[in-house]
Amino acid sequence: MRALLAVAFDLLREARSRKWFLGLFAAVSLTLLGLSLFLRLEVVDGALSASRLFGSLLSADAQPADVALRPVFLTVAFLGYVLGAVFLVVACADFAPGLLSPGRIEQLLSLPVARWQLLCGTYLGLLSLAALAGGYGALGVVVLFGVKTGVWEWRLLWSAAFGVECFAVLAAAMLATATVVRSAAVSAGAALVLFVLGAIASAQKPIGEAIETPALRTLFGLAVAPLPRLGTLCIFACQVLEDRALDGRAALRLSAGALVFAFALLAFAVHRFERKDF
Amino acid sequence: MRKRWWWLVVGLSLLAVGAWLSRGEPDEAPRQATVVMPRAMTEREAARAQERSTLPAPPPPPAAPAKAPEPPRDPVLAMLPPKVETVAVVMEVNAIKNSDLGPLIVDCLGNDDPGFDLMRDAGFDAFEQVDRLGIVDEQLFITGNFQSFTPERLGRLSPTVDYGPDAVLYDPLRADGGPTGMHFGMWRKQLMVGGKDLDAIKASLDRLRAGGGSEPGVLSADEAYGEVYGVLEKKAIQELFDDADPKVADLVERTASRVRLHADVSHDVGVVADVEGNSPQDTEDLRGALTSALSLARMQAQATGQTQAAEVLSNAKALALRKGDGRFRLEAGLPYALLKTQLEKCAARRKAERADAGDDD
Repeated sequence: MRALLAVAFDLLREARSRKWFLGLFAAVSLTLLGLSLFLRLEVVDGALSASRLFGSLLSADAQPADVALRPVFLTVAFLGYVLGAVFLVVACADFAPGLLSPGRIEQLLSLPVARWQLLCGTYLGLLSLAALAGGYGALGVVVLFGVKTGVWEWRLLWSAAFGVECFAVLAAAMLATATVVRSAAVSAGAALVLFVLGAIASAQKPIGEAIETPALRTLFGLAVAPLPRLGTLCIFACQVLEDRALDGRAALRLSAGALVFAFALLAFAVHRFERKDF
Repeated sequence: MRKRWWWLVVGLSLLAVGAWLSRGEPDEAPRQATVVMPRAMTEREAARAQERSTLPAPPPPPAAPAKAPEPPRDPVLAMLPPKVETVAVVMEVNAIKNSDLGPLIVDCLGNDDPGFDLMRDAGFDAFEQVDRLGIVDEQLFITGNFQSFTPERLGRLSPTVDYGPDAVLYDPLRADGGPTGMHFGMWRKQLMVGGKDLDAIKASLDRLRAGGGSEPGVLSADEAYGEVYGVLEKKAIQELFDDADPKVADLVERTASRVRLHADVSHDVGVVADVEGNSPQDTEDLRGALTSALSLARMQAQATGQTQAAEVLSNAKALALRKGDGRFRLEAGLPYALLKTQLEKCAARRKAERADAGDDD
């Protein structure tokens, strides 16, 4: 376990030295700072009487602050999920190929660390990075709107958790791909294809109904059955912000399904990594 | 070697477990009820208004310059006075009865009430023959089909008196034969108007005979939309806020001068109230105060676990119409599901009361 954590920590240290991640945290911080400086929300007794962004009046109609901000939080949750996943995939694409690069892999294998620990530690490091970025962004938005309007939407942290879970699946796909082809572009491409397939798997019911040939419909059902429902997780990330909207049991089940799929990919990656000669 | 294959077996097993966990669809999220708000006349309502325009307009004065004749009018709108002291509200009873909530409303009101049975004996079924019902200050009017209605069958009635070619007047009497103080007028067996002020009733019948008053009525043809529509004057508005927060009640008393009301009852209940104030600043203050009151009420409902009330209050809004015109629009919506539950309770309670009364008999 200690070896696993050491590998994960090593990845975080490497991430800190990269400008990409400084950029990521700077971008999140700048967005939050910009919002805090230029968003003028006039709140009186829990009612949002007017909102201005960069001096322009967004809305002059007074309405309860939490009702008025609901679309804002939903947009943040949706964009955070989709853009966050895509950005992290692109930013982290070369970690696994870098791990397997000639020279470095030999040095790592000479250490008293098992191969599976090396791979799983790298995966844990990637997840920690995503959790830090997601948590920082979500907490920033919660605090910003909380201070300005008195509406503390802590459920945004749950939305961020769904986003991190989505990245957990994509990161496993990137690691598995890297054990087959040592290319950052192919790793990122595979993760993005899985992201799209995950969205298609989420819409398998309407797509299946639209396929007229029964054999084709069955084939489509079988093909998408093991895929994680990444689109549905995105819907959950938004629904968690609305009262009574989330089907908790389904959210738990599909989240577990996505995580188990990620572990399956990780197992395939370890299998491939164990058999590889360096 | 065996260990290497072990990872593959684990991977395949996890894939199968993942597929099993990812099967099925999540439950459809309960959507936030979107209530239809009566903000303007629909095509169906315009056609309804056209059908009702049967009363010829009064002829122009002989000395007036020649111009195109005015179109016929809706008798109800023609009967309305140009000004009211408190309220002029029209309810489309037949439309409400035939709405999605109609049967439950009828059950809640109690179709088997002895009063309604008495009316049926006199040839008038209130649940079948009424088209509209309205209140104009102290006066009540009902439109519908009164062809089979024979008031004499109700007993205790003064002799009917003809009032012009199309109307009759009569007064109900007490059991001892004394006057009740109430007066009724019937116009062309289509419209009945009643109240304590005989002069007001006669004035209404006069306007009907003349095809409308010399001044436009308090409600225009353009405003006759929704299942409930009308106007509330300052006095009536104050009465509505009697039990509210004293600060809000005081602000309403100082600022609001008139409310034009429209309610859609076709499925959910959507209410739109255009509030006119004494001055633009006062109206804006009132809008802000009402919004805050709604927000606080909503937060209170949330804090006390009244989720349905909180949902209803989240649909309530005070919207600015045009900047500085001294008006704003208050919108509120009651979802069908909530009303259905309440009306079902009401109908069940009423049924139980009737059953108890039957047992006592």
